[in-house]
Amino acid sequence: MTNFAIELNGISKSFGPVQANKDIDLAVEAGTIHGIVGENGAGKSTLMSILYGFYVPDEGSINVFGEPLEFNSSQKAIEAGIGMVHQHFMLGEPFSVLENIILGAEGNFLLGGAMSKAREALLQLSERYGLSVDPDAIVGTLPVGVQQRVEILKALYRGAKVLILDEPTGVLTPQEADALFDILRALKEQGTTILLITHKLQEIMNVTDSVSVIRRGEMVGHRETAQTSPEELAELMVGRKVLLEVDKAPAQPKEVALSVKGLDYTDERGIQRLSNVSFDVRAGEILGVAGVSGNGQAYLLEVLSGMHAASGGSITVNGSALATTPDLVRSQSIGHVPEDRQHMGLVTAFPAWESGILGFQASALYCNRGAMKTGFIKETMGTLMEKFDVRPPNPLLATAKFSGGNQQKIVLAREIDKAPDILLVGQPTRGVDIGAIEFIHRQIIAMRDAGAAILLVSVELEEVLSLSDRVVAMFDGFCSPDRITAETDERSLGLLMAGEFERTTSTGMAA
Amino acid sequence: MSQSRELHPIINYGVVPLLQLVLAFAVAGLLIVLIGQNPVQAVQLYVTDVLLSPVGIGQSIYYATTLMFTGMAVALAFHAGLFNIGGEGQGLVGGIAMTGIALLMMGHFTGDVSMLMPGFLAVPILFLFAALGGAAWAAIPGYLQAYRGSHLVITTIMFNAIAFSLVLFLLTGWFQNPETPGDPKSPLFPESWWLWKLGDLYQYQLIGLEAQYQEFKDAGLKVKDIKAQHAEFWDQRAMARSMKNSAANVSFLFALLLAVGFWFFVWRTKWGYAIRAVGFNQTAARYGGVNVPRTMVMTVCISGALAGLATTNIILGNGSDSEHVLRETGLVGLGFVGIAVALMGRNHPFGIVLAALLFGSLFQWGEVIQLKGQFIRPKLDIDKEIVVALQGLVVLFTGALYLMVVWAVQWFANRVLGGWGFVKEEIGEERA
Repeated sequence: MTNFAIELNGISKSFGPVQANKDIDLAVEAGTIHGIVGENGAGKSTLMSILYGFYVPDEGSINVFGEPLEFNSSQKAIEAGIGMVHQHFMLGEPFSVLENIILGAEGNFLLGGAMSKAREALLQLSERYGLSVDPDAIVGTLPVGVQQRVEILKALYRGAKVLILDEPTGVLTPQEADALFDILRALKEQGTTILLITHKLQEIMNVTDSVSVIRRGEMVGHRETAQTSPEELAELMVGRKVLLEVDKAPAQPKEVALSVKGLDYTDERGIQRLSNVSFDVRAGEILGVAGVSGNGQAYLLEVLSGMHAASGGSITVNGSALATTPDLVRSQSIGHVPEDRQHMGLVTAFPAWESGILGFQASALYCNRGAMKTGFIKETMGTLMEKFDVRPPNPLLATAKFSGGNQQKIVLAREIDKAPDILLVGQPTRGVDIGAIEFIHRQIIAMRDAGAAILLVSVELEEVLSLSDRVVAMFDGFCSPDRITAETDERSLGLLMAGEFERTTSTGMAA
Repeated sequence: MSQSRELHPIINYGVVPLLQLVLAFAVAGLLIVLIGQNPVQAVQLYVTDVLLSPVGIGQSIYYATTLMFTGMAVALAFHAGLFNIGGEGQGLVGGIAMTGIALLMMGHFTGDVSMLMPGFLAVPILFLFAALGGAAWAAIPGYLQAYRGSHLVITTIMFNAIAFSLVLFLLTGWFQNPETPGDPKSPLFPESWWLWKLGDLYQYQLIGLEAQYQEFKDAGLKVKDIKAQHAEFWDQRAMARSMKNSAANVSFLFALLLAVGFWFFVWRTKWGYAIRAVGFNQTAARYGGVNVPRTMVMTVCISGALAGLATTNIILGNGSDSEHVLRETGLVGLGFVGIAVALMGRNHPFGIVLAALLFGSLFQWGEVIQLKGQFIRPKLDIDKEIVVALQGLVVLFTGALYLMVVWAVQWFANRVLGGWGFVKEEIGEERA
């Protein structure tokens, strides 16, 4: 008989009329790495939250190492040996590694004893799994990859025998991700069971032993990784054949539309966010900006869209200087699909028709002497939503009620419909389902072919490589020299993303 | 995963507030029992002397008018995500501005009365100055919030105190009524400037009716003969006599118009769009080309103007306690009650009108309980402050415990009614 670390039997959970998990069975063999894939909103997170004791399922039972697990108590889940590494780290940044590790497991109210005990245990763990971390380093100063290691150590310190990792590579460079996978393999060697939640099929193929696919709250398939392919998994996730490659003709670049030279930006707290960034984007081409999240890409987009004023350098748009406010920038025919649609690109409390004119609310198209042309806007928005395949195409529905992909399509519809000369796009497919990704990519390519200059910022390396004609990488606010996408690969781009290029500040100092 | 927890609008906007009110009344009733009085009697008075009496209705509408202004003032700021609790101060300064221009026209400062204008010219000017004064007083905290990050709640409440000192300074000096030294109030506003009230209509009618009555008397008819032979006339006279004191005035119609304007401004103009965008999400508003600080200042100014306008009803209106002078009491607390009105009206003008009428009638109830309670048998010995307690309870149940009622209704709809009463929601499909 096989030894199962985790057994889920007939788990169902609904929120109101929404069925998040429907009769889910899952058995994970002890000492293996098991992947769970599914689109956003498919129910992966709900399932793991049930396993970790955040939610009580409506039906079903869970066994951990053969023992039934009591629901609704993370404490019980931890005692049963389940550890979770969240997508967003739960670490106290001003604390040392050691302090973070004992947080919540201090033992008694004088810290001293627990600290020295934990130090010993931590050293043992580090040795055993090859997870080297300085116990006295301040967490906030550590690179993201190491912070993640601290999270893993934290779970192991609490005696985790089953480790759940939720989208662990979203914040890592390819090299860091590889290092993580080495750690996971080492953990497996030592008998730890790992549940890897991800939407990146390549990771599943690289590191897992078996994989389960969730679609719309239902388990649609279990596969041995060795006996499946990314194409099959994608088809299982979406429920139909999916084109993973982007189909595009070679670019026809024309004159320079957007020229950035020596751009510096220091934020209101005095932190230098952009250093000496220079690049050109030509009409009819896509310039990709690769980089791990948080290396200045967000600031680059915000400066280029007029939300922040540059501290130095020059930005030229079709020969004239960039305007200083978002509405003036918009009138220079620059469209902006922001990285964070929920906090910037849309007002989620507005109905779709109101979100669909954000930025154009005062334009003569939608507004007559201050009064909005409500009827006309609703009608236009309905048509536009049909055209961009927003589901449901109902302009009266609150923006928050649309799924991530459909919200993104509302933003894209709004920006692309105005046919801007220059389009700034940030993370066009973050949190978007595979099916919608295809559609969004096609729209961006169509914009390019219609002669727009496109600046594409994405942390998905695959996306940057498949969409852009030229590519730069950002690291710590610096921008690498450009490469022709067709002549580069993931590996060499990964080096640029890790800062392996010559960085000089605008004053000529080496960084 | 999106969740549909949304109740049907009729339940959400009808049943839920009604339940909240019932709860507030029930607890207030309990309070009345606790002080050894009969709550049934109190409710009886509410029905007979507030809801069913012309004077009671008129007086309720009069209070409601003030509350509509202050309620809308609070609500507008809410839409920009701002909490303007400076209605009292803005009302006072609105009153100062209005009294200043009034005294100028009346020749209080110079003795020159050549600028004294008839009501139809003067009243619009007084309204304008009341609005400007309120706006100006709100502008400073608004600026400090938008550009300096000082919290509006703190600054507006401090500005209330400053306005109070300012008005006392003026009322004991430049604005002092020379006939009443020692009593800090302004000179009386000319009667031709007082707002037309509903009672005026009956007042004029009554002149004819009283003349007719005198004719009957002169013809040697006894009162009971007149009653018997001219029933229609008698009823008409009785009605006119009771209505001539109704305090509801033309300002109520103005407030209603303003409520419609409020709706149009907030939901149908680019300015309202900007205000709501700022209120929901400042980052998105900035992305959308909205000048966030400027919008904030503008919103707080309009909010202050609305609070300033509330003063017109206090000074130029005709409540039972109207003195037609500027007093340091200003909006007599109605600026603060405006917060409750906005809260209960869910920041929508329609809700605000209803909530203002409710709160207005509660004020009148308090008056009735205090004045009439002494004369009914058994004696009802309740202070009118019971209304303040009731208002507090209404705020508690509609504001602080709002979700408690909503959850209870949701639970009831889910468990007892089997999911009836929820909106059938369309949820964005997960795939393209």
